[in-house]
Amino acid sequence: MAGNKMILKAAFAALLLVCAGAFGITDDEIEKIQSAMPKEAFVKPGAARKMLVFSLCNGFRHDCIAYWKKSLETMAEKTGAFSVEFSDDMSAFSAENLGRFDAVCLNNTTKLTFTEEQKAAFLKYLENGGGLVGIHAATDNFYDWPQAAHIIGGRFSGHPWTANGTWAVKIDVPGHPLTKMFEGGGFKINDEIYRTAAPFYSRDNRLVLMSLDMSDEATKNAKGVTPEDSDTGISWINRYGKGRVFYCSLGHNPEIVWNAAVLEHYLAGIQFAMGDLDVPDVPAAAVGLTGQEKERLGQFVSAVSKYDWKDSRVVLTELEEFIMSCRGNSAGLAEIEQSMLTVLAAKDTTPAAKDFICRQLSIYGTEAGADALGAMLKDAQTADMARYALERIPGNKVDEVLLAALVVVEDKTKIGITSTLANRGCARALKPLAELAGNENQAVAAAAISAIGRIGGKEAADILSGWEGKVSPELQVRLLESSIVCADGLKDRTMAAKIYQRLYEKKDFPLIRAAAFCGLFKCSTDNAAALIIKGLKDNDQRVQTTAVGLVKGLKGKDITAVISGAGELSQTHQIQLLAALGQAADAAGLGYALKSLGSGDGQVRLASIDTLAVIGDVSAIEPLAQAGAGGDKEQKDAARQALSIIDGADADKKIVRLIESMRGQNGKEGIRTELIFAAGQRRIRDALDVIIEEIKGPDGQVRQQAARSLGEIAVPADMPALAKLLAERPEAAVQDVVLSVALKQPQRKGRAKVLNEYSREISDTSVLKAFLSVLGRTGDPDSLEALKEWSESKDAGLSDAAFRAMCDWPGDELIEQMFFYSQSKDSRMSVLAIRSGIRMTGASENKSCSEKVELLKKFFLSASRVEEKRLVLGAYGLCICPEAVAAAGESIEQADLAAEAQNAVLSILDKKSGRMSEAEKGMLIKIAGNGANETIVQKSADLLKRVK
Amino acid sequence: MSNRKESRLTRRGFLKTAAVGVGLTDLPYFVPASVLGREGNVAASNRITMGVIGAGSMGTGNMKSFLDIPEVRFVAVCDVDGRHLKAAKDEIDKKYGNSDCATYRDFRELIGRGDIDAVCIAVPDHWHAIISIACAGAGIDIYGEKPLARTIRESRAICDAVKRYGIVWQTGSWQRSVGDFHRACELVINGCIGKVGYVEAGLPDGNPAAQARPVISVPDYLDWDMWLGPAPWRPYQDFGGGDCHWNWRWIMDYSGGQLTDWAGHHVDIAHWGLGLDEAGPLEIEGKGEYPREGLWDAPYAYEFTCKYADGLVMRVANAGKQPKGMGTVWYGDKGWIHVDRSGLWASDPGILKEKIAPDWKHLYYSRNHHRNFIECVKSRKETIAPARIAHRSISVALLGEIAMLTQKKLQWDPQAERFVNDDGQGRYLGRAYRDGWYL
Repeated sequence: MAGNKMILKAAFAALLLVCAGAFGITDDEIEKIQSAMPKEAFVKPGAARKMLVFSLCNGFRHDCIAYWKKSLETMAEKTGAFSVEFSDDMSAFSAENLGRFDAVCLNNTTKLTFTEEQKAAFLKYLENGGGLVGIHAATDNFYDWPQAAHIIGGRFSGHPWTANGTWAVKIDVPGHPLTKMFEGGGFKINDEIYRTAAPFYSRDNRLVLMSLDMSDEATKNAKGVTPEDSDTGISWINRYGKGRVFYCSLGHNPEIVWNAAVLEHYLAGIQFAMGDLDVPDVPAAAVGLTGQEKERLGQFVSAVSKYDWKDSRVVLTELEEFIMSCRGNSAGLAEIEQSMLTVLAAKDTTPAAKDFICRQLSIYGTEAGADALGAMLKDAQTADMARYALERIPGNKVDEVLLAALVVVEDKTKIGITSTLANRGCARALKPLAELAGNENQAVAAAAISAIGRIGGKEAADILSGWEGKVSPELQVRLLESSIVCADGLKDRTMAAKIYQRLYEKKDFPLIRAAAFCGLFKCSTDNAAALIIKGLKDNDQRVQTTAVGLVKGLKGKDITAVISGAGELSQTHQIQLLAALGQAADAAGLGYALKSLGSGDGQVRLASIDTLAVIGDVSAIEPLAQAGAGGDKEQKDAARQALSIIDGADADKKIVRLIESMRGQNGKEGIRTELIFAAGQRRIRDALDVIIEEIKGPDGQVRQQAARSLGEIAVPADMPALAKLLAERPEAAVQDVVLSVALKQPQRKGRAKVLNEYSREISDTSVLKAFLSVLGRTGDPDSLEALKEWSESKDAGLSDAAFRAMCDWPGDELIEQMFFYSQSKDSRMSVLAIRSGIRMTGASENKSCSEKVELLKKFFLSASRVEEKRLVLGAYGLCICPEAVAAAGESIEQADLAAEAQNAVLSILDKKSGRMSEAEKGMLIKIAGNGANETIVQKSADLLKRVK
Repeated sequence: MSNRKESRLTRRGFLKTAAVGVGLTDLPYFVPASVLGREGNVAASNRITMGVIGAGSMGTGNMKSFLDIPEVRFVAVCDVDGRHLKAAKDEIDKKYGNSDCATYRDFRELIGRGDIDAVCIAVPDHWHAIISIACAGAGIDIYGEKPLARTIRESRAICDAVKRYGIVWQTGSWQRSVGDFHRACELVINGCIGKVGYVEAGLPDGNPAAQARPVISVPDYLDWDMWLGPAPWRPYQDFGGGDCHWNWRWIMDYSGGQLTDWAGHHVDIAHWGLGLDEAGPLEIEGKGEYPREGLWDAPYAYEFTCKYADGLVMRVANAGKQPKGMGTVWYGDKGWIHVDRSGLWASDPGILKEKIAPDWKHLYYSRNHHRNFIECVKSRKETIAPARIAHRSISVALLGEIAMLTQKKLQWDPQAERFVNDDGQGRYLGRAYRDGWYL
């Protein structure tokens, strides 16, 4: 028991501490308030001022209330700007009592409710010049009194910016006396910020001093922030009658009441509310144009009024830019609008200018222009552009103007107005439009009917059905079409379904019936399959086709039901059903697609293959391979594509199993080829062994495909198996595969390790030749020694194979070797060596340009035939250095080499940077004068021009 | 029988109202399509009757591609310029060795024939919606040029009509049917460069030329009033090339310049690779440079960013303002991929060798854009570039246009397709048509 008591005691102590936080302010905190408080009033008060600090909470009660009381009391005492009196009693809002105060401060009050008498007294008090100050939760009131919410400037709607966060604040009116304590820049603060719901908070009727800075990531991304929060005001001032209002959202956390800048802000705000501090308080939106701006506007508008189509748009641009610069200044924009309306009405304003002004009004115009624009509707010349503006201007007034004009304007304009009313979604227009639907001008009637459907809703649907059968045959179609549009837009889907059903029964209108069928399908819930079957059996082919197409929206048992209920389908519908099943991507269509693969019709088979590519599983593999083996090229390609992408590991296993099980079976070569192709495309690693076996098989077609697929699947790690295969099947196709796999290793060194080792064990000459050929092409430096060794073999065949392998060497290690062979008396060997040497030199990445030229010169000298000399000259052309110019230059006058030599020189000089030497210039002139062909003459002349 | 009755009715209706001379209501609203074999004389798979609407440079190019497809039979061509009309007719007649191809100045007459299964439309952007919706309402399948429409309202209306009448639509965003683009998108969507947080779409630089142009008399071969159609009236002017053709692209009444022209390519491809074919940005912000003088008013330089759900950012700009110039570049946390008509590149070439495994995502494959359309006309399958996807591609450009014109950071609700916090920007979503024309 004693232990329990101890715990209770401790809990009580903790509770006391919490209470101290809530109700008591420590001496330390009072000291902080004292020292942060401004020393003197912001301005000297005009008289002794008194503020009622009201702190009643019917809702949430903030801990900070006590802090604010203390702070305001201290502010009053220290600065002498005012005195305070506290109250939590609603009776304080009597006319008599309010009269004793210069301002009322709502200190975090919540859910205050006023009697009608108190409301009247408070409003009167404000109208007569009383002040209102709101702290933080002051916007959490007036839930049944919108007018007061407007006056205070907001109604609480949560606080995504919670008390423990740090948020960015921006100064909206830098340089204003009420913000200068923040030294012009924004700041970050740890506090809770209130959000206020529209429409009470608006910049149109208050001067917002500070707001949340949404360019700050933390502030913008606080939990619960919505796009509507992009403008969240923190502090503002406004007027009501003669009264003034100051509100600030800061002050939830106690630390705020010893934040010197915030305290000074409050002091200035309170003195503003009391009428002592005269500061600009006109909302930014209501500033209007300055004298200078007015003058500029006049100039711009006057220039615009004379604008014609053939003129430069610059005068229009200037006015546009001016208007843009005034955005946010509603009063200024209103002045601009008036100015534009005046020009619009002026007799001598050009049509092009009116056109432009209407465009501007379409963007910035307000109801203020409605009458002027409405008048223009009566003249067919101006009606279009007037409507261009009116269509975009919001407000009932515009609707009224349009509706009034509808009955008096020319028929053509009537059509325009119906379209505009539809685009505005003007439900009020439905009745007048319903009348217009009976207009004797069929074009007007049709436009009205169309507009009714677009405006939509239940009333529109009724109007349209009411006209059915009562309009001319020409209009009947438009009427039904409009009903479909209307039904598409209806929120009430039961009603929509009724409309679709009615239209579906219109026998003579297949397109309308098809569209209505679509609609019925969208509204259907449990009868989708039955509906589709009904559509498939419809007499009208459009409806049938629509029904087939809708199968793509079905799943599972509905698909099964449709397939079994569809009956015999035409070839066209079979193809369409298969396409729909593919789009539905549901396994329920698999059986039908597989069955269709056996169709006698090639188009149907193709469609089924495309569908199986999407929904096929293991069961589709053998049939697809069969289709690929047995069809024309189009069918083969489609089947191969399908086999390559059918889903899943099971499919891979099945392919391997099938290849294996069909091995050696006569007549299955075609199918096997397709499966082996698929194994390659799918890079099935487990297929490696079976494919290697296939390469050893008797059928040429299968072998060829197996080699290709092996190249796709195998990786360098498979080299032992590949080396073994090469030893067994040393043919060219296998060599190529082995090489391609070796080359998958990016670095040359080590590529041929396995092949090298393996080659040492080989005794069969023909196998060894195959290995040498591959070794040479891998370029693995570790195989160089072996190649050199074998090149000295006494076996002429082997030494020749080694020599040829060296000729194929991809690197530049063997250039000297090639030079050596180029000296051979065997002219075949010499030619091969020279050609390879030139290639290796040209492709070398290690040798400098001049080194390359030196080597090429040697090959040039070794060459006995003109063909190889020409090759050297060609290679010079790729060496961009002066040495190459000089070397090639030696042959420019030699009849059988001139063309190649000249081309080489030109090509180098064209690409070479830096100045051309005199010798080079001389050479160029020589070529220009004695070019081997016209292209060369032209090119050299061009180059000479460039030099000069 | 019913179809014949309909056809007669609408034809008569057309002639009657055409005499009155008032717009669009004379439309033959629907017409039986022979592709469906109603008359029992043609099967779907072997003959598709086509018409050309708009036979300028793009229209002629499309027409030639379709002429090469055996099932296609062109029977009619429509253009407001007699010179275009004659050239296209000659080309078609030459192909078939006869002189049967009919010519029209008014697309409504072409639709009114009642025997057209499909059309290819290549007209200035401001005409796209009206003509497309009229064709859709007549049950005609459409190969329509990008951009889908001039305004978001029109673009949405086209999508609705395509869906309502169940027609097949192919947008001229042909890059989707080209290997490199398909490959790039499959690599990106399968995570070969990791999670993508940023994508660039580089579109052509515009021409800042700022000349005023003379008003000239309308030549005999041109129906200028019909060329303007729903757009605000203006007198006939030399738009830069001696007539109104081609250079209308730089005038905002008819087009949004290179930006709206090319969004249907590289923005479209960007969406495809990200699986965002049906998504839209939430925030759009940017700026454009516009000619201050002369006649042209479309932006010649432009850059804006679109923020999507998940924080993905797409930056659309003219090539000169993009680090990698033209094309689409996706940046993932493991590398980047850049694709353009001149090639396909990646931060590491190894990425481009990646094989798309069977159980990875496989994107719609088409080898030939025009062929794909014809195949879908037959099978009723959705094409590789349907209207609903083109709508999202052009929406990006049109939203960028609005952000640049209003110089505001816009917040967009891509589901409801409206602005959040609409402070007037919603006014740009649609435009009033000239008297007589309506959606």
